Amino acid sequence: MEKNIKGISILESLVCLVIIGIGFVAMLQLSSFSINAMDRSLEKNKLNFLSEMVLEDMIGDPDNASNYAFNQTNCNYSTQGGTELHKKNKDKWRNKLEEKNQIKFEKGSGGFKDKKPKCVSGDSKKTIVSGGVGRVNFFTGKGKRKKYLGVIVK
Amino acid sequence: MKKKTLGFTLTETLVAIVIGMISVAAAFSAYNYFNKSYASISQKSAISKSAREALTAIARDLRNAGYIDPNYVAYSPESNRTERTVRMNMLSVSQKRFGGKYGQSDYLQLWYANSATQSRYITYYLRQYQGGNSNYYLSRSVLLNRHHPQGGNQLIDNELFVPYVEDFQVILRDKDGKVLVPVCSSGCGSVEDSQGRGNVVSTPYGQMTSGQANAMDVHTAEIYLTVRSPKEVYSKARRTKIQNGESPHGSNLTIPADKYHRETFFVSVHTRNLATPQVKIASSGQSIGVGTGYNK
Repeated sequence: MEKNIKGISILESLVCLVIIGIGFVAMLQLSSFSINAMDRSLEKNKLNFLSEMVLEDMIGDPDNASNYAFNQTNCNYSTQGGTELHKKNKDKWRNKLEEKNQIKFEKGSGGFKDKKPKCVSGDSKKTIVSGGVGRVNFFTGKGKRKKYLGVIVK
Repeated sequence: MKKKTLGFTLTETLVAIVIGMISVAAAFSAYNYFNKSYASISQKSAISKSAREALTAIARDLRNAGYIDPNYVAYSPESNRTERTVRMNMLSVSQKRFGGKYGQSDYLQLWYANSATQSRYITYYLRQYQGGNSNYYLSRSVLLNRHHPQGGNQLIDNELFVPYVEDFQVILRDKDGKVLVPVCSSGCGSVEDSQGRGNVVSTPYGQMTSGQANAMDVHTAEIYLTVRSPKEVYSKARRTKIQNGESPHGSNLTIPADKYHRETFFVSVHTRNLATPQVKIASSGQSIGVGTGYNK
């Protein structure tokens, strides 16, 4: 009578393990993707309110709407001062777009670090005002995610 | 007949145990990771949702603040109410540093007449949870026809609007972008007192206190809402500093080390029904000023 071997070989079991491992990795990536998606959603949510802020400021100062053109193409937001309302408002945009001073987390030995929204090369925040129409163009995620909004200012 | 070997050898069993343990450990750590991720995501999602809905509603209320429906008629028993008494109650940050968990949150009240027969008096402030919970939520109350002789009709009474709010700041600015204080119609606090809210000033509608008169000069309202996750999110405790609005009008908090996630949401609203109207008369090109029937 021939030897009758039943069950799985070591090779089969290893292949099986590799397949299960790939499944695990896929699940982990799914999880990290969903966390990132939530972070993006939070930032988009905030950006919606900020774009609302920008348009509200234009609507609130329609006689000077043409002064509200704004173009921030890098992540170094530095305020520029000025006494006119449009200059103050644009400095407010700069501060709010980088969430300056709003929340600071403890980091290391007693130091605090600003919690800032993600800003990478390619991101830009722009407003265009022409013919009494104000537009907001916000680009995030290396310029891939776009937020457009427009209102008739005057 | 040949000898037939059944079962596993010791080596096979040991290898199987080792592989099995590695698999169980991997499954366990993956479960832990997924569990933490899920908790973190659901907490952040809860914060985002409640803050988004609340800020949208607050912004809508602030845009409406001071609006008087063209057909609005005051109740006959309050015929002694003049435009002065209506206008002095349109917007009020009655108390800066009113309360909240860290004692620096504001108390906001606003009024508008949204139809011929109905006015709304809306109040926002931080209110403590009941049952020994030391946390606060943003409460919203709506009183219909506040000046009705029978005291108005409480449409919404301290609704839980946003859970676990740590800071609620309202910064009001005039048309030049300067912070406007005090803006309070009644029930003002010590901060407003120190800012001279009781000083009598003349307005196109008659004499008012400076706290009441300032309400008509509000051009922009900035709202800061710092919300905390209901449950702990992080594995390591850390301290947090929150600064909403510039000193000395805003808040400046240092929260002791904990594992909660916090987000600050900000919205800025043009209070178009309170500010000096920017609308121009097409024929003359002149601006319509306060007191020339902009709303009525």
